[in-house]
Amino acid sequence: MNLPLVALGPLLSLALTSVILLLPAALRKPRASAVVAGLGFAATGGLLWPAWQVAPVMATELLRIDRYALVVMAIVTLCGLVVTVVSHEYFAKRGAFHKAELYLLLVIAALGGVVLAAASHFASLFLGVELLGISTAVLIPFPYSRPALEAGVKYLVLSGAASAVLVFGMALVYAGDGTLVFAKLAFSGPGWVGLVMVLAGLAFKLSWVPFHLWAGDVYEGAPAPIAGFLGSASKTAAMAVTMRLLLESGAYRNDVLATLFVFVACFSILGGNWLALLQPRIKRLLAYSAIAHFGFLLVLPATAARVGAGFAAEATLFYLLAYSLAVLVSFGLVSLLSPEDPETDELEKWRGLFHHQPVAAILMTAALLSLAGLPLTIGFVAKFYLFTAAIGGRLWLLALVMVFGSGLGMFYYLRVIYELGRTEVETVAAPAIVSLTMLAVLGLLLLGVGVWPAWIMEAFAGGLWAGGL
Amino acid sequence: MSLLWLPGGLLLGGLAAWLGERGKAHRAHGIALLTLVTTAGMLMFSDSETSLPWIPRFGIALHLSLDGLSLSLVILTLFLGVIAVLSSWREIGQRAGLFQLNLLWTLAGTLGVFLATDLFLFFFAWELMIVPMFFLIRHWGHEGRVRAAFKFFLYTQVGGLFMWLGILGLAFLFYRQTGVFSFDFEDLKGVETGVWGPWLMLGFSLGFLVKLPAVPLHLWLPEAHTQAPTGGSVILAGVLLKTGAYGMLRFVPALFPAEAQAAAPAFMVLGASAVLYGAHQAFAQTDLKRLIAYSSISHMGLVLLGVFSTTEAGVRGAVMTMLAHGLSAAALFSIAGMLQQRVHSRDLDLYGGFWGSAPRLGALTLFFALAALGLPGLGNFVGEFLALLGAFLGRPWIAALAALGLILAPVYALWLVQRSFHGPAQRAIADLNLREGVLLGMLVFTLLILGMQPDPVLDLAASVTFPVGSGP
Repeated sequence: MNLPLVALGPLLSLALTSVILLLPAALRKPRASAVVAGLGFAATGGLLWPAWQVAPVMATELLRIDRYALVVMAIVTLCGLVVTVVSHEYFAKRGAFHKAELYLLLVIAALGGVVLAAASHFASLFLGVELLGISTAVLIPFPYSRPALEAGVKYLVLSGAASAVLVFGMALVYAGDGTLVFAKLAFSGPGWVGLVMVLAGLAFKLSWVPFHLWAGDVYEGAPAPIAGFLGSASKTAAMAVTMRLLLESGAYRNDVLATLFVFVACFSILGGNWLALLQPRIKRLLAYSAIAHFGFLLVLPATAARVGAGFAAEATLFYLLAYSLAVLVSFGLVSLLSPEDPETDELEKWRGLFHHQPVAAILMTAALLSLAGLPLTIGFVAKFYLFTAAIGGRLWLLALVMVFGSGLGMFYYLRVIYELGRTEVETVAAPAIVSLTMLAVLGLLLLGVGVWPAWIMEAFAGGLWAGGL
Repeated sequence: MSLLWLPGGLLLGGLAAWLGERGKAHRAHGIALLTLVTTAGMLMFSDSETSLPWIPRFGIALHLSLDGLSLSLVILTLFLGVIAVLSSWREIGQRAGLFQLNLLWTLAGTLGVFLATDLFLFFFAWELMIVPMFFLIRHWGHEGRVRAAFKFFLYTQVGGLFMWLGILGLAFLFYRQTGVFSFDFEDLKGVETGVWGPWLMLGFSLGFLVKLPAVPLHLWLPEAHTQAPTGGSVILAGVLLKTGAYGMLRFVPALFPAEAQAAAPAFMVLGASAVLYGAHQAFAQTDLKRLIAYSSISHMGLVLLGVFSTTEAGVRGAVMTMLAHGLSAAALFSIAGMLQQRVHSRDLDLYGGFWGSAPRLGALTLFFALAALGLPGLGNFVGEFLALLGAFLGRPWIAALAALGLILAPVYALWLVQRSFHGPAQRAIADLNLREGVLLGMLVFTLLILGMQPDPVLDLAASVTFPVGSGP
């Protein structure tokens, strides 16, 4: 059989990059590794365009390269690129920990994410989850400090447990249906139990309540750029595959499951925001806000039966893009502004940033306002999608919880912005111009799409699932 | 000229003030003033309607239109913008460029609110004006600014989100009935709301009533007004509160005619209780700005009463009160700023006997206090009279209750003058300087015009057809 090489281009390019990276990694040349990884991500980004032209393509039963997959790949690749650049600056400052294999692991993790983006079969889903999970589990304890090691072990153990649940679930699904292709699943017999177990395994990655307990510790223990990768690329890929599983298999039409989603959404929104409310550490705050944000996203699978699969897919992509941009900017700044040790994690270290590093402070403000969903930022439009889905699905109770959760969210994002503007000044590291420029570009994108979202919407709306709005 | 230039010009002017400051505060103030005057000039050459595609996927357009009501509020906004810039000329010395950026962006959001006829755009502008106002209070406010800023932000945001649910619900009903998305006001007017009507109206009303503010939802206001810098207080009381009133007047009755008619007595009771409660609280204050803030609650209650009297006179009175209260509250807050700058306190106990050293300031304070209590010949009287007349035609008992506020208003207004300017002289203060004289003079002039010749303004502003009908 002949493989559609053009459509598979992005995957092949990342796989090839990881092979090439073995060389500088073996020679212990961190700088060269960073350059190769960066070029690899850039090339992958370039190869998305020809793939976009030929999509949708089924590359074997395992991978479905459609526009949905390509958008997710684009987000993951962008995250990979940004994290590579930021990591280089971050780890170069901490000479002893600047190891070449860091970038190798990053590329492999991104490869896992790209596989997940296109996975339409449980085998590729599992492959992607493991590629992503195992390499991030190694990336998290990278500074070999005590909290980082603790975070790494915590992530590894829980990730392993989640994978076990995931695989068991797959086995049950297979026992019921005799197939692992998403589109052919009917969830007969033990299949429903299997699906719930699969979702539980994925829920761990997405830190939905009650699988959220690891989030705070891991985000805080991990080095800031890696936490940023975990928050953006890893979550994006996991959410994308969850949505694809539900939409392709038709499981979203099940009422019981939808009710379950509503409950998990309510608890995640309220729980995540509640935990973040008075949190004095910024990485932990963002970890808890992530719980809330992915709780918000659950409104889409809960209402997809009413608003249509096409709309749910489009909204997922838009929200993931908005969220990833904001997370990349905020975690990027945490990384860049951190002096050698410890990280600029406590909120009070950010005091008065506006007065000596206005660019960084404005970027942080934009990212936080976007997370809060205020106008002129992409987050506003993203939130518009979710509220539209909630109203369209007539989930009034969930809509009220979302309003309440947004109110809580505003409070703690404002707390951070408030610190940025105070008159007392703490000194933090000055970021290099390259990394700061890159984050500024992301910030402009964040604002630009917020003001003029139509073009992105058109790109996301066409060629996904048929039906719906 | 496209209407987008009005808010757009203010946004650009804000950036110009920020970048053009270069360490000299007066440059930033000058640029801001120039921006406002230029925008007012552009207003003369504006089209009355502008529509550009924005997010066609959801039927959202940059649709703005300018009718009589919008025009009068836009003029009020720009005029009070000038007053706010003038009154902060001396007060804001540090980071003046940033101050003006926030001030002008707040005004840009307000203009967007008054002009938008696309409800998505309306909400966009509604949210947009809150963030810079938060920064104004937070960074340039007085001692309790942090708490006040957070309270302001959270109250208005959460209120706004309820309105958002209402807007989306309405858009969805439209989608269900026609198969296409639209957020256009004209389209959404035709939606059959059915059983959802009361709930959607509740969502809209919550957003507007927080901003107005109606009494149980007013808790953010006394603090925000008191703690904001003078320019911020002028904008808050003069313009931002009017956005809530504008929403109650333009959107609620038009979108939910039957429901609004049914709920009108409830809204009138809310209005009347705000009149009494605000006046009662104002009397008990010893903080000058807090006193004025509570008097604003009282006056805005009158607006609510007038709007939901569902009579023509009531609506005209409400609009006139909106304009006149905007001017008189702005004047009183400017005076409060001047006194605070001279005495370094807002505590009325430390005031007294200023008339001897500052007779001109005293006379003008007396003038605006009389305006606030509704002296015939000034704009506030016209508004109050018409609002109460309209209410009386509709529901005499509620009107009678609200009219008791006319007794309380002189008590707090004259009390204010008595405590600050009469009695034994605590200390001597400087009288008005030229800038302050010009500023207050403009306000005196406009209030007199509104009071003596209200007809042109009433006809202009009340040209909006009121679909609720003429009385029960």
